[in-house]
Amino acid sequence: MRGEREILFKAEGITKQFSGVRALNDVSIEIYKNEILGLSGENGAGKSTLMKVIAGVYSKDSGRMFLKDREYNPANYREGTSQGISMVFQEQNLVPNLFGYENIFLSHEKFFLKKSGVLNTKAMIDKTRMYFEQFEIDADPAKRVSSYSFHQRQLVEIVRAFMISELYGITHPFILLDEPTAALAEKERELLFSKVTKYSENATFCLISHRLSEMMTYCNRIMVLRDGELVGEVDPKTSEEHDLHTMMVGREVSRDIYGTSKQEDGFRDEKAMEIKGLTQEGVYEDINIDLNKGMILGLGGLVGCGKRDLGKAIYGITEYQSGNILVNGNSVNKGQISLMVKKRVGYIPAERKGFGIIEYLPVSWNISLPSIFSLSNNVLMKVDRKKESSLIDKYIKRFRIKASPEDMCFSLSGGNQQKVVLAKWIAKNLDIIILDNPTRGVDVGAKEEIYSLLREIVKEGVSILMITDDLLELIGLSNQIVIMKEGRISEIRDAGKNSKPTEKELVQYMV
Amino acid sequence: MKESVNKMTALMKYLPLLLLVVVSLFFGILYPRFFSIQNVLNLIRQMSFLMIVSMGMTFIILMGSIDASVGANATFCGVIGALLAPYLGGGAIIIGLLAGAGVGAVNGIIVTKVKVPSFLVTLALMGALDGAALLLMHSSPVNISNQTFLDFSNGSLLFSFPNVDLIPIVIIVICYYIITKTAFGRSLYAIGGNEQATFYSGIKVRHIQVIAFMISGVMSGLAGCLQASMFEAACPYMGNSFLMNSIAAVVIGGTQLSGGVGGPLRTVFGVVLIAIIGSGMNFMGLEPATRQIVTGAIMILAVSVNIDRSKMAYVK
Repeated sequence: MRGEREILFKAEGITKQFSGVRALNDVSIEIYKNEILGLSGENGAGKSTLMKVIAGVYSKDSGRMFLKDREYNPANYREGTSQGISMVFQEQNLVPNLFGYENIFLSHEKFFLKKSGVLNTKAMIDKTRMYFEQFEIDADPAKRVSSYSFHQRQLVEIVRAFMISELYGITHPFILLDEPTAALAEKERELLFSKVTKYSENATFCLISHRLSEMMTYCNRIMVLRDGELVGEVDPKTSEEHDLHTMMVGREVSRDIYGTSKQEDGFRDEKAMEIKGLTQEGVYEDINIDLNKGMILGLGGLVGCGKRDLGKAIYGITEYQSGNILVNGNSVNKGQISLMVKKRVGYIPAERKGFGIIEYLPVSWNISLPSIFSLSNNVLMKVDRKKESSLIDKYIKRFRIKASPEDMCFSLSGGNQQKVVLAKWIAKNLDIIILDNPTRGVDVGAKEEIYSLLREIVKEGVSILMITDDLLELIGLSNQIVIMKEGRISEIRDAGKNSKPTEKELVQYMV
Repeated sequence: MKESVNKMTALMKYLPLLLLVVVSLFFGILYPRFFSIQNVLNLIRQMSFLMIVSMGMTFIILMGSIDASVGANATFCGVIGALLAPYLGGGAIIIGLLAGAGVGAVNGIIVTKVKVPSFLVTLALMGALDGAALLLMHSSPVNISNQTFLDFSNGSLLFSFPNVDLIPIVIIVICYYIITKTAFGRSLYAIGGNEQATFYSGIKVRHIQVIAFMISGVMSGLAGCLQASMFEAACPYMGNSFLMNSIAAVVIGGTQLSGGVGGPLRTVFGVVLIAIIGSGMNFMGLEPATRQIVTGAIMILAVSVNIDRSKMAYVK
């Protein structure tokens, strides 16, 4: 069967270095017409780099590429698109303050020049509108892109690939999607993939996604990269996710990455935190949650159900209209972050770079930051450097952070950065930690480590309120699960080690 | 990759020092009198006010903010000191410092509560303070004859070391201690690195910002009073040159305007460098206007070498 299929794109021996570091090493792939090819691998494995080389964003150091048997050697991204290869970037590539149609034809406006040298905007809008209708995108091309939803913008980028190809007389575009679903809600993800599958009748796709289940469902083949080399191919029909994990990490990954077998359900019947009737109209309403000492309470629900807003409100980042929060039995009047920290509550945000770490400070200072005032003696306010560095060393070791204390945080992998964020709170010796998507953008290997660290700290009596979009994480890790739907709690379910609910059982309370 | 990055940071770290040596040698060889005791003492005297203001500015720039009111604040506090000197003597200086702290507090509170960018707030305050100072002195210098007030700069608390030279040194030591040894100092770096992440870590970011602006205000007040005491009068716009020169000193020293990177000793180098270049240009017979042009050029040069462009997506 495979032999008969037409090869659309071929790369041979692609190598790419970034100032001495080899990002891609002798990578050769063939991509068949009309397929959806998955590219998988841990962070830094070279997936995005490979895509960017194909798209012409980066130039390769050596190797050859062929598009429909003709040598393909784009000098830049624009040249790639004019030959029918487009990329939808992880960080979206639209200019928000330009109109929809302006974005679509950006840098290809020459096709719409009138004799007078003025752009024929009407033709541009009409053409865009026609395509939007054809591809079932419910957006106005004559509106600014900033008014589109995230999901719409993504589709606009995909459709743009088709439109630009057509301008250059190419009927079958090759579209590269780098993490298109990272920021999408469940429903939108499905919608996107149903469209991609449909569009693949007239196009070929290459996809990167951190959600392996998604790749297993929608891809025809999955290529696995590790440390810049192609290490194998997985056929989703005959393999399972675990095979993919193992290939990505390069060693056998435990089937029990959530450490469910180590879960202890005999947590103390003492309340660490009580949330009573917390309400912010239209966001979350009448929320009642009890968090016992030493338990992991999972808070799930669709993106936009209010669970993340609730987490922020509890930590005092945002305000709530009514309700009350008790920490260790004491009421907190209208939370304030510094007050919550004083009451030994910590918070790990989902946006690690924006709110979790300080990229341009060393790992050491990041870890000691929440404790810095308690590390200084009161008379001259001098930080006790000895105490500080022993604390830092202890947590770097305990959390197996692969970095030295002096390393700047930005140079660490996502997983290690997340461990730094976790370490800074555990080093402060807290009672309660609120986690917002603790493993977002973290590799499988590091995920496993983070889960086992969470199990460890819970054993020491810390209570965890974990907000997550990842259903498997929610089920695997939690002692108890709370599901929210449209701002209200729709289900509370015990999730003992031997009585875990299934995904299906929970999803019905979400939608 | 790492090695070349390390080399770059090492270069950036020692560049001010290297520049200092090169510039000193240049003027020293060109003008033998440049290193005479007389001129060195002159140099130290010239940089004392700027040193104080720049130490205050270091707190602000480390947080990624800016204080454009330093010069006007110095003038304002100098006038207050001069006007009160006949009645309060040395106590007028205390009031001058308090006025500086007050201005700093206003800056800080508007920045943190109303959330107006510090550049705008302090720029507005600069205009207001210049105006207020002019009103207070009826647009002409206020002479000082109170001996205690004059002794503030000319007297000597330590052996025969004049106060005007002693005070900047004390200030350097205090600021060095606060910035590098205390939790407060560490928080400045954290805020400059990522204000939101610092806030989420439970640090009282707003308190720290207000206090930092107050420190900067006190430093301006101190420089203003010291200047008034030295000149035996408070003059309109006497602190004007502090604004550009203090920012230049901090930045030339290698502290980044984006915050989070740098330190007090770098500022010391920056001030010394500016003073040496200033004095050297004096020797060359350049007039003040030309010297300003050169300082401006050096400032841009220093920033272009020092700044870490990978940290910013766009330059605006």
